[in-house]
Amino acid sequence: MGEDDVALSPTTRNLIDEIGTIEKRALEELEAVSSQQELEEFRTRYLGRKGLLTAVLRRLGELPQRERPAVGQRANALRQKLEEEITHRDEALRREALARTLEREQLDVTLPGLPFRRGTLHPLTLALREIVDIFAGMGFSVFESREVETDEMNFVFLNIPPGHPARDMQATFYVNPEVVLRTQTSPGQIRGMRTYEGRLPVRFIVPGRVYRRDPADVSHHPVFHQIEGIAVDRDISFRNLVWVLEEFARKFFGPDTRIRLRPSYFPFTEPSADMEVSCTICRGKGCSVCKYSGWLEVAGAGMVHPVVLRNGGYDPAEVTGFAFGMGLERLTMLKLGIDDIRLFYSCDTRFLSQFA
Amino acid sequence: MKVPWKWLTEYCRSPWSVKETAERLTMVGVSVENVVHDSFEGKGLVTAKVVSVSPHPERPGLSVGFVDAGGRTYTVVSGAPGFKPGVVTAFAPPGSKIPRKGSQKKQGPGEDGSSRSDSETFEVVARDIHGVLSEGMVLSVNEILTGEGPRPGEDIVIFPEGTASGLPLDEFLDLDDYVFELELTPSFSHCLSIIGVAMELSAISGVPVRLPQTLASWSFLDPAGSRQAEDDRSAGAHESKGQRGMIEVVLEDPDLCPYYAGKTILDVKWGYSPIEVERRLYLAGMRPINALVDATNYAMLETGQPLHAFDLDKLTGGIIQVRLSRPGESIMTLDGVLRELPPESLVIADARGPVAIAGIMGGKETEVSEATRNVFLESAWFNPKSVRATSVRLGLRTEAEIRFEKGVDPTAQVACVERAAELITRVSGGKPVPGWSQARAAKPPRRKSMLDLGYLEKVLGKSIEKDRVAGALRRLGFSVLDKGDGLEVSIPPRRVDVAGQVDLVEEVARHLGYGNFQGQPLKVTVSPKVPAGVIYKERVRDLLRSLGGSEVMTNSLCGPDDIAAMGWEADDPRANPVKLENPLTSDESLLRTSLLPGLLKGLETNKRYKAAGAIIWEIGTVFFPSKEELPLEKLQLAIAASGTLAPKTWNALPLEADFYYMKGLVQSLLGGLGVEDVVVEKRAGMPFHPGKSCKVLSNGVTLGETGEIHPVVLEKYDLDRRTALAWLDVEALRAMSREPRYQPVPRFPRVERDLAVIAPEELEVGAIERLVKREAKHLVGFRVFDLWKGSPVPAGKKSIAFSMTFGAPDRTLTDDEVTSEIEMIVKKLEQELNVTLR
Repeated sequence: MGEDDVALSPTTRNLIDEIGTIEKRALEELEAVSSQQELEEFRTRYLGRKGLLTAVLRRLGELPQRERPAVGQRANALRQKLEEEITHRDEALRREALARTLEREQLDVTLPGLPFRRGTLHPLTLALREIVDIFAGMGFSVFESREVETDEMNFVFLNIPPGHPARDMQATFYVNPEVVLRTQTSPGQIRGMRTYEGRLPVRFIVPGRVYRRDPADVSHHPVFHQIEGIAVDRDISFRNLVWVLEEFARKFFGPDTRIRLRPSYFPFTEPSADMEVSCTICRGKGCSVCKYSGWLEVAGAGMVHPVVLRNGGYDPAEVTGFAFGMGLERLTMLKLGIDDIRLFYSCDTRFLSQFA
Repeated sequence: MKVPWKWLTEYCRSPWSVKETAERLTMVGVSVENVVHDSFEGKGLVTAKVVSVSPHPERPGLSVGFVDAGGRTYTVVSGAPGFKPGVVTAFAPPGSKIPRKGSQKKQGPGEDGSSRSDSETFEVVARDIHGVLSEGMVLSVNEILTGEGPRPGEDIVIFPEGTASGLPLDEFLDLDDYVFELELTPSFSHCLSIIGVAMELSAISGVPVRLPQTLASWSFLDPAGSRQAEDDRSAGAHESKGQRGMIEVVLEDPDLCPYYAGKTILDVKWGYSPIEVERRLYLAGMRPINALVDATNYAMLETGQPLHAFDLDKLTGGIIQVRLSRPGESIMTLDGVLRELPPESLVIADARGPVAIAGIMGGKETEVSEATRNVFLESAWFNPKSVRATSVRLGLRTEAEIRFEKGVDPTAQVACVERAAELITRVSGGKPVPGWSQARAAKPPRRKSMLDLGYLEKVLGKSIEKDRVAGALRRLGFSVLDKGDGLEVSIPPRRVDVAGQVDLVEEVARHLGYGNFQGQPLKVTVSPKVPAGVIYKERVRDLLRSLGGSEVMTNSLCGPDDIAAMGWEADDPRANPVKLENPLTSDESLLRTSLLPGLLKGLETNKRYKAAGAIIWEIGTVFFPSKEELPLEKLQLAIAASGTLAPKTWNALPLEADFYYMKGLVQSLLGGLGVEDVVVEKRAGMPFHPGKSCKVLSNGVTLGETGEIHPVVLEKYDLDRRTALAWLDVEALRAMSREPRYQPVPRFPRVERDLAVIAPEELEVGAIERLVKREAKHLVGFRVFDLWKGSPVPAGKKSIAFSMTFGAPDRTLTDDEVTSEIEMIVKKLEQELNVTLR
């Protein structure tokens, strides 16, 4: 008790003592509170309208005027302190209660969730989307062309006149002597070019189904898909073709993929090339898939033959172009390690559900 | 085309290993698909000298002799005429092994990735021959190379005098070899010959080609000079006319055969080819026949010019006519098949009729045989299209045909027939009659092309010095003249694939190697366009994926059974598909008119794999005959589901492929595509169940059909479970799809009210929904949440409970407003539909 207190009136001193007692008791009691309900009772007991501390405040009037502030401050300080303590206590109690609730609420998480059915896209669709994106990145539009074609579109306009030995390279299904199931997406080159009506640059791909009169086996199917590509402009060169094929191979098969072009023959391109990529299975070391050569053939390509340019409405003296064609099934098989082309047409959901 | 390594390198020595040579050839376009190591599989076979021979004590015709196999002497029994003292022959002692070539060849990868060709062997043992123990066998060529016995009239091998005894046979004969299996594109027909390949090898390596003397003046070495040589020789032909063995040649159709040369060889001796020739023929994929035929085949493999040997004495009338077949003519070909000649087939005929199908196969009657003494060799140029057409019509392809249909060197006939004659006289003796029985209707054109270096640079994207371009072409056998702004290039006659400038560009590029052309980015940037139809199709795919089910792709070809199974009326366009003229099988003889048959088979597949159920869908083209030249192609979408799509689990009911599943799927899809005002009309056509199916329409346009499968159709498939189908016309969907447009999000609360009603059992809930929508001004949602038939609902009635959501865009609806709408609904339901509140 300080110097000033000595001068206080006895009533005041009593009251101050009483505040001290209340504080001591209150803190002890609060310690014992173990539920929300007890806490509420505690609050009422001390801070309620008829509470102990409230009663002290009411008695301030009995004190001499000048001693009132000091006592009032003490009483208010205690009130504030108790309110804070109550808040803390309240939070602690809630935490405990929540912890008990959570402890009670336990599920068997090993039981399965609701059986949502996830749909899947065909692996060829997924691969084709990727391919379309890759070529779009190099400025290639998409052109879809018909599947049943005239002999003229499928062969003659592509520099394969009747009796040409190249007709042997592709076993053809005929609807009648003038109408065929397209053996290649290449007639799309002519149809697509013509839609440009002479405008430059021409740059598009033609994805779609093609037909060959080959019985189905692990690597053949009478129906399969190709992606044709063509670019025509004033100064398109063989080196541009090399770049496009390299870009494609790296993006589709991975950045370490190397490509190799070797001379080949297609009536509608010249020079013509077969495109090979370093084996996706053995990375070029040699394995049964690449027949120990380290290389896999994935596309045919070349510079568009002047005859084809003319048939597409372009003057070969003015423009040059390149074209390429690849088998979607083969690309997909090599990328995903699928060993039988017939799986694509099997409808077997055990196969189809593997790809997303 | 199979190219034995030793044969090839006889004409052009390779500076590289076998493997590297193959790779380098491949990189210039002579595609070596496979390198086969063909080593001699026999073991312990040696050369041996016959020391003495005496008659077999028991058997006349057999001899017993002692052979010296280099240090050891064996007793051998043989009936061969050549089994005489002093002869050095091939000998298989007991314990040695002879390969059986006829046995199944096994091919497997060897070291360096080359294949190895293995054959089985059989072991030679000492055996008693009529009382004499024969310790091994003396061998004929056929026994060494095939393991089979000697052929009729075949003697044992007789090696040159002075050959040592005891030499291992495979080393002595140098039998180990590699074979390049070429996969040639049509532009590489000049490599359908060993020399053709040798010239490509020479072009890459710079090692000159060495040719047999007879061929050295052949045109390909120098296109300009050689023709001169040939012309000189043709001049000599006239002098020999009238000589014995000369034949008059008449070319009736000069377009199809402008040039024909025949060579006569008199007094040949019948026999078989020496072992090295037979071995090479085997390696090159041809079967040795006899020395005469082998010589023509050997020369063909060597030069690419097919040749044919006639028995001169079997040709009638001293005349050869090259003409078109006449109606009703037929010929028995070498293979023993009597063939009716298709009209317009080019034939070689004598005074009696056809003796060969030109460029394809000779006739049996005039073939060379053991009795042949005089031979007439044919070397001609036949029109490729004509040969090919006849071959296609006959269904007959031969080594000769393959070469003629691609086009052979039109200047090589004389040189090549001389080469064959040389080979024949070497083995079979005989006297070649000087000159040729020949006719020429036209001179082969001299072919030239200009090569503009600017064009070359434009196409290849790289400037190449004139000297390098000219050098490359010269190495490939072209002759080149510098004409200032371009090169004038003479094309060797054998390069029938090269016609113009663009072909020369390719020659230069492949000779320099495609690998020397580095990638160069496209200069111009273009923003790519994807057609709206393609984008839409992909959107449909994404939606279908989100709705479950697996995308499939099925065959666009189907069969009559697939169409019949659907049960369509005869006049339904889907029952009248486009037919293929030349299907592989009946099952793939039609173009599909619907995706459903393919999907039903897909469901069968999954059932076979014991899947409890499956949902599959496809977007693909269907085809219909049209009045235009080309059939109509339409894009269709179809979905098929069967069985239990999601099994019962501890917390979920099973999901079955029923009508409502499929309808819900279709509705969700249409919703996602923004197709508005969708209505269904009961009863779709086949293959749907009439009571459990509906048409789907929007604004009066039929989009497709959905429902469960007709039981009659289901029976045709191995499904035996609940199956639901749907098909939609993708173009119609697209036409009815609206692009999403923003609608303000409702700002005022909505009110939900439920009604439970009793309705006549046959009343469609759709009728109630339509009425509610018509009557309620502020209805924004309608949902049926309960349906009940049976107790306590009276018979003939059903109980329906539905929930309606009301709302207004500009205010909160009052209770009174909603209530009055509901009262109106209740009243109208009762009045119009006999539906009462429960």
